[in-house]
Amino acid sequence: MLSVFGSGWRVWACVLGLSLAGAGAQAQVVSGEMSLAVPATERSLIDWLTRLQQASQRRAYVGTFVVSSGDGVLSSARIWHVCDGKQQIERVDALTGTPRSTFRRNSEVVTFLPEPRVARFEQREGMGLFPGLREGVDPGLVEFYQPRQMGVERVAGLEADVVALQPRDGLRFGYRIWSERRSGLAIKVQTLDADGRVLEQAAFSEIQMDAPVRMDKLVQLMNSTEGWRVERSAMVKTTAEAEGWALKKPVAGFKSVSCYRRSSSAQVASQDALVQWVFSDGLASVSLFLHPLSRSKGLREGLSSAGATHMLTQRVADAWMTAVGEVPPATLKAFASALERRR
Amino acid sequence: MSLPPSTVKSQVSVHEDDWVSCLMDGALDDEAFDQVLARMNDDGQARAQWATYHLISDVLRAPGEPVGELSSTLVLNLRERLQGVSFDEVVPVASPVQVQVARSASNDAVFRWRWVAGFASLAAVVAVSWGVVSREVPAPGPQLAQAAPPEQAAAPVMIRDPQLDELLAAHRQLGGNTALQHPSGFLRNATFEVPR
Repeated sequence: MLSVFGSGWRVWACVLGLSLAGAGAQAQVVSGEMSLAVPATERSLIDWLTRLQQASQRRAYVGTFVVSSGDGVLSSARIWHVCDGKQQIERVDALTGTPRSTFRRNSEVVTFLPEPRVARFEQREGMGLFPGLREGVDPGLVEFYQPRQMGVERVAGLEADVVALQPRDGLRFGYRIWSERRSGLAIKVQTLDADGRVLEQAAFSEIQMDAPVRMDKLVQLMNSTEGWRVERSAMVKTTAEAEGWALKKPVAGFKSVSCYRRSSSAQVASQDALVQWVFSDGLASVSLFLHPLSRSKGLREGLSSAGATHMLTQRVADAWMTAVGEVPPATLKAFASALERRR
Repeated sequence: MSLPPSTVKSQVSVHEDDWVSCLMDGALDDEAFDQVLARMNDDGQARAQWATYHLISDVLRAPGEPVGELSSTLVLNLRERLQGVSFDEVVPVASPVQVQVARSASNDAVFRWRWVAGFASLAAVVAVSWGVVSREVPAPGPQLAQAAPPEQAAAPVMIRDPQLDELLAAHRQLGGNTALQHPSGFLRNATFEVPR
């Protein structure tokens, strides 16, 4: 009871900006005493998630991040992260694959692709100073995930509390999270299927906490687009209802988050635009892409996977639907059978 | 031409016609290496195979964005041609050496794909491999979390499709904002980004 009460106040403190507003540069190195008030063994699900969310808002760090999937894909990047209490900025330089450098300042993301000399601007929802805390950590999550403390392990030279978030039904994957003991930062995350197999793992192989990351330098680099061709993705906010789509019944735990019309051309308002309807259960997300028949040449029904991400394509009424999410195939099928055309 | 197992460093038996891939892999000992080079002088087909493997290797390892209109068309054509192909007949012919060829041809820093060697050049045109878990879409059954039906997971057919890559990128743009996924979700997506 005490822990739930405590976590609730921490969420409110964050929503109201009390923990960071006015803290200025000191916010970069504020220690995690507040979220350490609850011992690891007694933390509730909400305690864990709140702590994980707060951690990155208080820290400056530099590290090497490695993402690997169960089918052998391995990617890595060099990360710089800093938060000054007003804004968070991150730089991610890919060390594998296509050379690229991605900057994020709150919800604004710029990807620099040096070879075609393109700077691609995007808005990412919910990536502001208090991402996901617009309504706090959803207390409803406890119906769908159960936390289990798994002890202490070392990752990248740091001691971390290990917590398993076990799904309570078959519509979501489980997670194992290594949360750095002092700050709470997630330094390793595994996504697990129902049999406990690791589908995907993201971890720091090396990290320097409280590193002297210069925010002004990162901002300057992010704004240096001279000599680059600037591209912006064309998106217009809409609603599923306005687009003539609805779910006959909800998929347990998943709530509608946003809906956009998007197009690679400027013709976002045309009937040809792709509609993206996004759902989330608070941890996992699902996008339903609704394609007009005219735009869907070459699509075929089927189920695909890449790491923890699954993708289901099938025809629904007079359109094609492609559901994408870090969820089991059963969840995508549940969305497909619930989806209906209202006009 | 076939080589005795002892001529291959990895000690796997070599299927006839696989010696070019063994040469590519550096899997031949000195004696076999000389023998194969001598044979290449007389065998035009082997030289063509050598060139094809290098082309595959170059395309897979090339930086930049191999996805475009041309590759979309290529993938569509490939799909049409694959409609009539039974994978049950195709997949089991892969010998250990052929599997080795597939690995050496892929860009292992970015992805690993599993397909028979003959499809490598076609698979090379797009950015991320998607395992085709199921061709059919069965009716929703009991909701049990699983990555793939076990009977199909044994021999997945990997397809790499620019349309799927585009949707994956769009999903990651708007979908990676959940409680757990921040900030690790953004870092994951930016690290694991689909090149577009």
